[in-house]
Amino acid sequence: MNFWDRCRNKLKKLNRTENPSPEKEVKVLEKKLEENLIKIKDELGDSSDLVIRYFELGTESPAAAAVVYISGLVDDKKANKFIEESLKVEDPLKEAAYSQKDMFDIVRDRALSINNIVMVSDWNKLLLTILNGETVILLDGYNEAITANTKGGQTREITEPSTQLVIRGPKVAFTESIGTNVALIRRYIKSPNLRVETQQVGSITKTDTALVYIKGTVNEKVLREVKKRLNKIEVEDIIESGNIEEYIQDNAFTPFPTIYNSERPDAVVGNLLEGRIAVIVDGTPFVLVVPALFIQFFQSPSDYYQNYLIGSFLRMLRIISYIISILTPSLYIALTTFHPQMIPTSLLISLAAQHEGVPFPVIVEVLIMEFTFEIIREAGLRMPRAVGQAVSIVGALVLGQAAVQAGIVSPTTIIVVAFTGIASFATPSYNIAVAPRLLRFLMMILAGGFGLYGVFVALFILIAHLTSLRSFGIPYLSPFAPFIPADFKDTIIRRPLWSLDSRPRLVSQQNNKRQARGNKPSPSDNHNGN
Amino acid sequence: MRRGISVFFVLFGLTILTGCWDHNELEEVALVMGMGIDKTEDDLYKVSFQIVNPGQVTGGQMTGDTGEGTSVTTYTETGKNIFETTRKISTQVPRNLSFSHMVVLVLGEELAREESLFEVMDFTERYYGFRPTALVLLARESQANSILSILNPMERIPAMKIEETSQKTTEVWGETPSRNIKDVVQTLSSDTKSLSLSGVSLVGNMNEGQKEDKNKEAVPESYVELSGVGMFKEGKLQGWLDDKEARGMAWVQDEIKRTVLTFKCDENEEYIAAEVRYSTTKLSASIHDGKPEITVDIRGEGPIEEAACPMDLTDPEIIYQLNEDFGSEIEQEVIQAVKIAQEQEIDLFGFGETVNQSHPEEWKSMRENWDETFSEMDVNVNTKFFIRKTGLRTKPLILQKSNNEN
Amino acid sequence: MEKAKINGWQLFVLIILFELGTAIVINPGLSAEKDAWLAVLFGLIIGVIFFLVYYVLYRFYPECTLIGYSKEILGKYAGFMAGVLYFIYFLYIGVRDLRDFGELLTASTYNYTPLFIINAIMILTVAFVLHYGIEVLARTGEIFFLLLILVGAIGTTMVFVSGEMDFSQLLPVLENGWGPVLSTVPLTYTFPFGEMIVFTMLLPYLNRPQLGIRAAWPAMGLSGMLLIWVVIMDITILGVYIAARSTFPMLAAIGLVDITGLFQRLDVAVVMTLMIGGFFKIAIFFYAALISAAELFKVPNYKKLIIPFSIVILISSMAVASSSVDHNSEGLDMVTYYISLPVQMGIPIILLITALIRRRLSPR
Repeated sequence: MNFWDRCRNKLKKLNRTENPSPEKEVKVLEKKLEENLIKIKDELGDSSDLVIRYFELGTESPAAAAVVYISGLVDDKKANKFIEESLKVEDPLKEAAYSQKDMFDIVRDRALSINNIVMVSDWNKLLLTILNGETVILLDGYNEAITANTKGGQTREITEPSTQLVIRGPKVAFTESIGTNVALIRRYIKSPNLRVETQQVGSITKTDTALVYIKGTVNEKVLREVKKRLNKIEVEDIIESGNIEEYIQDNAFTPFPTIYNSERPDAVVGNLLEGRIAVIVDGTPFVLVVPALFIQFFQSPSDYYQNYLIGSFLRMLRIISYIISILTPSLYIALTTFHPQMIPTSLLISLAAQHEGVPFPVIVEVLIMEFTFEIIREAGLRMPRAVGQAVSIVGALVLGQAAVQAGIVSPTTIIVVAFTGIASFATPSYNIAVAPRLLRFLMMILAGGFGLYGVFVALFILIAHLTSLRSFGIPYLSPFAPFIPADFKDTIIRRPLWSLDSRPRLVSQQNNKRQARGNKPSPSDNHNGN
Repeated sequence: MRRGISVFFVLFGLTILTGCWDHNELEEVALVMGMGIDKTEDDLYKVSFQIVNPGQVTGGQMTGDTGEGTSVTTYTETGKNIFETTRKISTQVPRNLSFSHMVVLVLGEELAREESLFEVMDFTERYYGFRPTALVLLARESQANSILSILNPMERIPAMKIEETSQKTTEVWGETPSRNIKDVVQTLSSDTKSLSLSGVSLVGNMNEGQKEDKNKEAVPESYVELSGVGMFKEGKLQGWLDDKEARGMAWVQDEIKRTVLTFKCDENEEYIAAEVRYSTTKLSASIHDGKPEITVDIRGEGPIEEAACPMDLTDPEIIYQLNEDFGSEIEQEVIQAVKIAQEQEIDLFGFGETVNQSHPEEWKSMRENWDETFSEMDVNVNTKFFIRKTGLRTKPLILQKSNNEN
Repeated sequence: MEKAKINGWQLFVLIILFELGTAIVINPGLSAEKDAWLAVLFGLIIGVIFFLVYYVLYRFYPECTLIGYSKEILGKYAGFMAGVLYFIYFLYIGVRDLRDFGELLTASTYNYTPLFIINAIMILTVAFVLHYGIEVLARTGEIFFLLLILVGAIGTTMVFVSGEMDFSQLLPVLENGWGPVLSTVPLTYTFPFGEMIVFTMLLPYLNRPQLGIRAAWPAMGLSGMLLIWVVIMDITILGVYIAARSTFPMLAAIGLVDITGLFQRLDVAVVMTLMIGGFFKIAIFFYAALISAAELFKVPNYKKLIIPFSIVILISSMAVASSSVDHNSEGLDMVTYYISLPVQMGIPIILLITALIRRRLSPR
């Protein structure tokens, strides 16, 4: 956990240098232990999880000492070891007398040998360290506290990712602990250029956020922009990375995500290596990655672990199914009610036969079914797993089958809605897959009003909107618009790894070269000669 | 700018709310599959519409009453022009007519003889709803109305049956060409070619044919078949070409895709048959002494499919001979067709077009009285036919018999 | 002028979308009947040559739009008058294109929808995209260009597969001599190649000035070739007589494609793709009108003008002609000879000559 403390030190430096708060006068600790303890209790409201342990150091003329920490935030083993080693093993008073040294120094030196410690004399900082899960030793007569990083307590184990599943690839997901998450990344990138910069966001929550990037690869302009935006956030609480996302994204008025997130370390690492920047937020396994391009949301890490032909095919499939999930219901409405001439005769006759006796116009029918589908989907998601199944059974049987048999909707409508629904599940990234759910309704209404013309108008608005988006200054739709042929290697198709020899040009503006030429595997020439 | 966007959305919403002009629910549309145009005695158009009853066509579980009613209904309306009838028909049909899936347009023979097609076809190309790929056929010796009223067992929609039959026979038999609205209009508007249209005629009793019950018979009493090609001059029907003559015209126009050639052997009354699998026709024009001359080059090839003649088909010499014979068979048909056309002074083949394309200057002087020139011009026919194979057997069975007798 | 940059490829794409725009549907060359392709070809050649005039003027004043340098060249008052003239021209052609587009849709698919509604939706969409600025317009163009190419390729393949084309329809070449061809050339030059004058308003946005000609010539050439191809397709499929009589020949031609009963009546889909071209043509004229008005009347932010201008364009698109017949005949005669030719050729030549004389006279 060494690096973590390094970050922490850096953070303090950072806070000192970048956030000078002149109006805040520095309150210093009292010399008297009692007063300090009372003050701590006061400030923290005498919470039940606040632990204060008293010690008498030495037997003759004992000096009073206290250990303060919050149970649950600290690792008990580490805390106990820290206390034992630094306070209890041998009488520090005796030693002080023997070696003519100050008692405080002795305790400090001992503590140093077993843990990473920091001296704190600033009152606010002391409270913060306690709340951060560190253990504090206070000695009577000294207005300085020894704090040790004993952070720990109950966190979740590293488990398999639950959102972005792959068939082949590492089965590791980020956890809620920022330290673990940074370590996970560092395990992939053993380079001195990997930089981790930490700062705290939120005046109440003081959420740790870490900025991770690879120096020399990252686009400095974007990096500066990210830092600027992070520093600009002045809110009370940051609970999840989604909160940060909303504060730092370029355009708030859009259903499309302009920041990528992932709980897969390999996905984040891949992006870092392309020159992107990761923002890790404590308390959530979802790591933000900026800048994000539209096409990035259709890339799954497993694309790179399997045959590139298959990978390319799957990627095209995802993009097509995304388009399907936006367009199908509106095209269905437009074709059946405005342009039946485009439907083959026999199909049209069978559609007309199915629709005979259905009381609603096609547009109403589709809207009802789409809306029902959204409800079923949402209900199935929030319910406990056991109930969730009941929801899907009721949804499928009652609403699907029965509605058709009762003649309320036509079977084709059910097919269209179901197809759209399934297509929308094929997108690997959840937060871009939800955008069509919203847009679909807009498109359906336009299609119901003006047929294909309406659909095309909606497409124009949609595409103009997408092209107007930027993610940290990078056009969202690049490399399509603006058109950058060199960056096409890893978009709709994934070229073989040996030909992915440069990074996306807009994302990483320096050090574009990624690998040496001639990595293409080929059988050695002399294998059958000698 | 935010305000601008909201203004935009408000305006947009308003326009959408006013929408739905061209909106037609499926159950509000009557799909016209076939349309027939006749002439009444008092010089009005009598237009028949064959309209699908969707529920009767598909066997889906949705509509329990499949098979009880007829799959199509034919409605008839009269009017001074065709467009008028399409709207006047609303007194009988509760839905909007949609012509977008119409597959056949049948013109009554009487109409075609008396009324010029220039007047009839304008609506079909001007009106957006029509599909220009709908076939145009002539009701031979009957009314278009009766052709469209005949139900048919194989294909539940009679108009589609006619269309499919026409496509099929053009493909494998070649006597009756399939012409669609666009072809008709294109030929009508050119001054270098005359129109020819396939005929469709009614066999059997019309009243019988209108009943659904008759679909339960294995041998239908009444049915519709394609027969002959009608020749038009200046948009009016002049006469009919049949069988070999019709095919002769198709040869010249390069419209033969596949067909069957039969040829009577010399020794006895039996025939030998070959299928033409591939053929091309090239027309070329030349001018001698100010008179145009057309050369028709036809090349065909295909296998022998049936041989009832005692010929040794393993002998290349005999095959060469047969090539010659089949070639002259084609030539006969072509010459016959050309002769009829020349007698009638109808340039069905687009010879004028050929002359114009190769000799535009001379064409300008001939254009005036082309019909006369056409009827007198020399037409050279060169045909070549190649037998490529003889099927699964070599010598004919009949040859075996004569061998056994010897 | 806004602060924006477009690159060479974006200019290329915009020019192609612009040139194809409405010309692909209305195909002006068809008055020359079988030799329509020749008329379009000559129009293209003249257009390509004449673009040099615009380009040279742009290189003389790389920072200025047409409005800007006409003031520089002709002086304050005459320049202002010329600027106003161009502003009205851009607005008027934008109005005409909107009307063209509306006529196409109402004639082909939306028979019963009022023209006003169709136009209103279109101009609102254009206004929406323009409020994002020229960069977004250019980038949107890139996406739709890819779509257009895709649809074009599929469409052309289908036309070939359907076997409807008959190239002998093009013969004989020059059936009626050069007369009809030459009398059509003013039409094919002014519409669409001469309309390149509007790009004098956009060239200053280019990130590298020399790209002006390097992107524009290939783009004009390519779009000219495409127009020629379309005109050939129209004639070989429909025959010259139907093509010349059709209000929208391409629509009729594509409507004939029928592949095994599965792909038929593609014309509606085609109308929608044609919407792409129409959209960009209207958008570019609209944009040119906007920035020229902003420059002439010193409006700091042209975006404020979008809503009022769209209302003006919409209402004039209804008022400009009483019927489609009126509209088309205006386009053929009045616009070509009395508006387009002077504006596209006359004034630029005067500007160029004056600029050359001024450069000669003024010491370096």
